[in-house]
Amino acid sequence: MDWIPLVYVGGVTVLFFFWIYGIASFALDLKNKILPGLRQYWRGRKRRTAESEEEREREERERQLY
Amino acid sequence: MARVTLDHVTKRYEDVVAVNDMNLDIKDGEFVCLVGPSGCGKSTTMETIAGLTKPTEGTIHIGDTDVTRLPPKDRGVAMVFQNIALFPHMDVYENISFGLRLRNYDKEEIDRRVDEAADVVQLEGMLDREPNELSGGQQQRVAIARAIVRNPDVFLMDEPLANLDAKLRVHMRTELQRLHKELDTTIIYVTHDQAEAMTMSDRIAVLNAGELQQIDPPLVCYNEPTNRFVAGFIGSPSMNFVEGNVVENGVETDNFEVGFDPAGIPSLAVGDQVSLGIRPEDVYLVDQIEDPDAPHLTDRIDVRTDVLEPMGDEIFVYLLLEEDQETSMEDQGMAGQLLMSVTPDTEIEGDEDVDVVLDRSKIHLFDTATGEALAHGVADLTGIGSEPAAGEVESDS
Repeated sequence: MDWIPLVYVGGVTVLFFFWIYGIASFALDLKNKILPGLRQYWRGRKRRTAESEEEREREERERQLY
Repeated sequence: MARVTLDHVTKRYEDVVAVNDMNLDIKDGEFVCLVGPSGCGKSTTMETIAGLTKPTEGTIHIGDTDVTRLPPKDRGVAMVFQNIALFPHMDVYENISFGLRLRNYDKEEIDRRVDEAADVVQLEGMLDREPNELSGGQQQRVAIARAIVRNPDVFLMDEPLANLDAKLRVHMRTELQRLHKELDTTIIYVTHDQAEAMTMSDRIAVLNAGELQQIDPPLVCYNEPTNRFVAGFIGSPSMNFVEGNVVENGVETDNFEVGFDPAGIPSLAVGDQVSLGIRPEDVYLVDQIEDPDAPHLTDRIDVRTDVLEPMGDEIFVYLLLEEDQETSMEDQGMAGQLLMSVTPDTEIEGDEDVDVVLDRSKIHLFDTATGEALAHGVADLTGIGSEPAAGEVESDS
């Protein structure tokens, strides 16, 4: 019965490893994928808004010439 | 009516200079065409006048007012666009009166002006039609009427005929000329079609790479181009260019010589490299002229005909200058060849040896390095008694 603590410790170690691994992977994903993705999304949205605003202003100016 | 003045106008988009230090002075009631190849800055220039784009540097005056920072509505200009841009859900009356309704004119005034404008562009009886019930030409006339009703000081037209078919374009050209006579308003017209520019305008402003090359009446641009770019751009088909060197008694090219006294051109010295320019209609087939040895003509040049292009009213003949030249189109481009225009009854075939002469009074010389024009017509530089005919170009010198 001496092996039971060993199995217990081993199991906890495996669980601990994957818990830490999960957190580390998530942190890396957050840094390398999720945050850049969100930034890119906001940049694109901002650019599209600026473009459509510019287009609207241009149309408005063109209508002043009709 | 109003005078339009551009004073050192520059427009930059980050690293790109669309218009570079443009100076233009357009008189009251003048019809000026801005022409040039794609990307030369003609539309940007127009947009800075209209107020659609603000210049990076320089000022724009319409009449006595500095309009550089004014919005389009306060400039007293109306613009006709290439894409026509009619409102599809409005009928012709509503489209024409759009600008007036936007400015809260009263109904009677709107009706009066719309009727007048419809009369000018011959759209009477069509005021209740929808744009989709009109032809392309009629739609463009609605767009023009929409500009007319506002009685602007200046009309701006950005390639308004570009989307119309060739026949309608020719018809609309005459309509626009009639309109200009009738309204006597300043018109600035952007086009890349030089036929439009030549036929309609009082003066042509030729632009290249954002810079004004020349602004002059059409025939002056045609007969006395200020540089090689203008010479090549104005005129269809283009002017022939042959590279040569100045010698004691004229210019020597690889294939022929043109005799004149270089001392007659102050900026020219023996040994200079020049581009010799001659228009296709000034290259004559020896068999077709009465006196091939007339003093205003060059010595005979042996050439071989290559491709013939019958156009109906004339034939364009590509001439190979080199005896052993196989083809001009694929390998040589325009180098080593001349384009000649002959009457349709000329008996000529491809791959035939013929003699041609050039009219020395119509030969242009350009500095090879700078492209600047050095002389227009060299016949009267020789002192051999050739009198230029009426309307013929006289030399710079």
